[in-house]
Formats: sequence, C-alpha cells, structure tokens
Amino acid sequence: MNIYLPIAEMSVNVFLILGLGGITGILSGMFGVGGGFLMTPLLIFIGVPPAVSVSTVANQIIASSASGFLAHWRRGNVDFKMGLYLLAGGMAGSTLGVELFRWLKQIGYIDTFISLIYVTFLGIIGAMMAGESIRTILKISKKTAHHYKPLLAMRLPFKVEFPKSKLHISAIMPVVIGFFVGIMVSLMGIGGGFFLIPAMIYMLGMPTNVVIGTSLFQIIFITANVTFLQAITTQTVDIMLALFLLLGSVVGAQFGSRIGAKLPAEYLRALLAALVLGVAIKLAFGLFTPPSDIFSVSVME
Amino acid sequence: MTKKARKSEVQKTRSALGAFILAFWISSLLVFCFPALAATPLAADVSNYRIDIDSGFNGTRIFLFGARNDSGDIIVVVRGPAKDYIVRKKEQIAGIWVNRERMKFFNVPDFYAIATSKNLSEIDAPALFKQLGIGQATLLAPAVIKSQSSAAEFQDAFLRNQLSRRLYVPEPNKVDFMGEMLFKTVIEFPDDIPPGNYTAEIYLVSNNEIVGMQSTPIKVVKSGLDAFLYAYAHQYPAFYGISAIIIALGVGWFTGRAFERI
Repeated sequence: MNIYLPIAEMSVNVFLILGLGGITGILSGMFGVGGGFLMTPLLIFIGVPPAVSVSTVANQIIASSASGFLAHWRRGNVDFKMGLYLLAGGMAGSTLGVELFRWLKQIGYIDTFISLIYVTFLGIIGAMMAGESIRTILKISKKTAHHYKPLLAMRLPFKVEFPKSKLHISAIMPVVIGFFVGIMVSLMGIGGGFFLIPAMIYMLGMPTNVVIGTSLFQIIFITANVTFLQAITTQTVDIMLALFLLLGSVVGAQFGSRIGAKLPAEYLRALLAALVLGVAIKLAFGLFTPPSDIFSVSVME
Repeated sequence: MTKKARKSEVQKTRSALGAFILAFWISSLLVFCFPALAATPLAADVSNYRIDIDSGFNGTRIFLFGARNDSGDIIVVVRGPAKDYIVRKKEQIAGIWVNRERMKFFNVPDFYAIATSKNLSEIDAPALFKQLGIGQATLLAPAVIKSQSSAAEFQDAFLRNQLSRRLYVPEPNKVDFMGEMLFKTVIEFPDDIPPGNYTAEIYLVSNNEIVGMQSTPIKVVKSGLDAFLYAYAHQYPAFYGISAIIIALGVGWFTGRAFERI
C-alpha cells in the first residue's frame, strides 16, 4: 500500500515508513535516545530528499521528546533554569543552522555535507561509546564516578546558581553548548541528545538524574524552532511523513522499553555503539564509492 | 493495491469512452459541416483538458483526435511548464565525491512528448523545427557555455534524466490516419509529471511549411488532501509550521498520558 507524500513529492510504501518509525521507536525505548541519527539517514537512503528528511525528523522529534519530557517532569527530574540557558544558545544556534542549511542546499553541497558531518560525529561518538562499554564489560575500568568536576565552567565569569543541579558555574558554558548543539540539530535532523547528554555530564557537571529530562525539555523547543524555520524558509516539513513516522515510533517505543529493561546496561551501550558505528560506516561508504551517475539534475527555485 | 489498479482501469475506460465520443463528434462534424471545415485546414481536440494528481495517481494517457483538410504531415507536440534547471557534475576530491562543475539551463519544458505521422527525418524541415522547438537536441540552449565539449556532456545528462523519468519521449510516437482526413494519437503521462499548464500543439506541415496549426491547453493539477497540504505549506508557511508543531505536541502529550496508565 502506497501513500503520496505531498512535500517530498514522492510515493512510498506505508509499511516501510511505519517500520522506520518502529525501529526508531524501539531504539528510543531501549536506549533513551531520540533515534534521529538513524531516522534521517534511513529516510535519505529510501530516496526522501535530504532537506525534507532533516526538517520532517525535527518535526517528529518534537512529539517523542514531549512525551518523554512529561514522564521526567512528573518525577521532578528537570532543571528548568539550566534548560533555559541551554535554550537561549540553542535557539540562536538552530536559527543559524537553518540558514547554513539553506545556503548549502542552494550551492549543491548539502548531501555531501550531511554525510560528512554524520560520518565525523557518529564515528567519534560511536568509537568512544564502544571503547567505554568494552572496558566496562571486560571490567578493565571500574570507574563509577557520577559527578564530574566542570573545571572550565567553574573558571569562566558570569557565575550563576543552579539549585536543582546543585551547581554554581558560569552561564557562558550552557549557552555555548546549546549554541553548538542547536547548529547540529538543524543540520543533521536529530534531537541532539547525543551531544547534549555527554556535554551536560562532563562539561557542566550535572547530576545524571536530571540530565535526560533537562535535555528533552530543551530539545522540544529547539526542534520546534527548526520545524518552524524550515517550514517558512524551505517548505520542507512533510506533516504526512511525520505522522506516519510517529505512529510507528509510538508503538516501537513500548516494545523497546520492555527489551531495554531486560538487557544489562553495559550490553545496551555496546549495542548502541555498534549501531552508531554501523550508520557512520554505511555513510562513509557512500561518500567514497563512485556514484551511479556523476551528474544530477535539479529544478532551480 | 487492487483497488488502485481498478481505479486507474476505470480512468482509462472513461478516457477511452471520451475519446470515442470525441471521434464521433468530429466525424459528424465532418459529415454535416463539410463546407465550414473547408475554411480551416486543421481541427483537433483532446480527450481530457485536465489531469488530476491524487494520492492514487499512477500515470495516465490522453487521446488526441483531429481532421486535416489539406494534404501534409501531422506533428503533435505536448509541452509541460517551462523551468530553469541546474545540472551538477560530481568529482572526486580527497577521495570524496562532491558536486563541482555545474551548468544552468533556462526555460526548458519539464515535460515534452512528440508524435508524428511520418519520421521526423522524412519530414525534414530543420529550420522550421528549430523555430518551433521540435525534436530533442534542439530543445536545449545552454545559457552558460564554458567549453563546447562539456556543454554537450551536461545536455546529455539532462536529457538522460528526463528520459529515465519518462518526462521526455525517446522516439516520436505515431500519429495514425483513419482514412485520408481523420487522425489520432495517444500521449502518455508518467506518474511523476509536474503540475502546471501544459499545451498540446498540432501542426499540419506541407512542403516545409506550416499550413495549419492549433494549440490546446491541458491543466495538470494536484488534488485531494495532498494538494491541500502542499498548497497550505507553500501559501501559508507560518501557519503550516505552527500546525506541524501543534500536531506533534498533541501526539506527544497524548501518548505520554496514554502510556502513563499502562
């Protein structure tokens, strides 16, 4: 059964889209990540234009992070003050990112750029996660410290009190982190939890219990900003596609959280690392192998 | 799947019926109003003035019928809306395949189908063809010429793209005569034709000269929910963006609440 996607202007199999949403949902249920890093490349692989993929996945992430945020909010695991500082930087970063995206699309480098940025960041993060989880599994390192000292954040000026995280650090740090993650969100079609969560733990020194809730809080607004800006500048948000992806991911997330609850955390982390590296390798392959046609045709707007 | 197939089958039957009625109408016109026709060398019409692209659209065909009142060859040209194109060529830089050289083509029809009663080479009127934009190689006039050899390469790539998407026909279709005067042909439209204003031009060519010409517009429009969403996204982008956000927040909130109970 096929449906026609009005913005992507192509006809796709409904079950393929539901399946993609389902896989992403399983992942977010299992690992607690948004899954945008997998969703966006998969959509590009099946022929959805990169611009439509990035914008539509941003739209879809609003929903998944909103429902995750509610759960964390109920448990009181959100540092709103820190969230707002991250958000200030994130709004600026994502706005700049959308402009950058539009410019790259115009000069014809967007496809290559998306692949490159994915290969670089997923490669680095995947390798780091793989190393860490292998060390944990082999019990080489028994480091269980949950609280890192944010050395740089403590030295910079404009110090602010963050009671929820029990921190007294410079406001520059969260704003700058938010800014860079915001750029990534609009260029890669991801929620940014991937970058944000390690940054919050290692660079801001936030306690792990408030990290996920706070990052989800700011992701809702950043992805909403990206959705809105893409809708008005490039008209690449496909509501139809987003809805079908959502349907799949809602169901998938339920299965995912059940699987996740049964597997030990270090194996989960190793699995996630393998997945991240897999996507990076597949994309790297695409960059270096000769394309089937070295010419491409597009309509000028 | 079967439902869709049946639907397109119905569409085809309907257009075939339309074509039949049209043929009947033209022939009765010929019989009863012969003196009136003598004044015009050519009369033609199409089975459909409008193509609706809905979510089940799978391509369609249009029948073209006509009558000539003079000897000569019939050439039918159907053109889609003119657009500006950019053709890019990938090159390997540091091992990575990146778009480098590019060429722009201005004012080129997005769709182009041709049907002739005789082979184009037999009609042989290059000057006329060039003037009317008939044939294939003559269609493209590159606006940027860096060097002649690379221009041809880009033209080829563009043609290859349009041909593979069946937006251009590789060989002119056949215009068939039924007797001396009546003629007919079929124009195929693939599933991803761009919407816009198309024209069907019918020429009667005799001794390298046009002795009769007629032009009929065909509208290709998106319809249904898809068309509504597309129009909404392009005409009211801010509202569209806000709607997308509200829908996503609604779904997120709803699922959040729903699974809270489970």
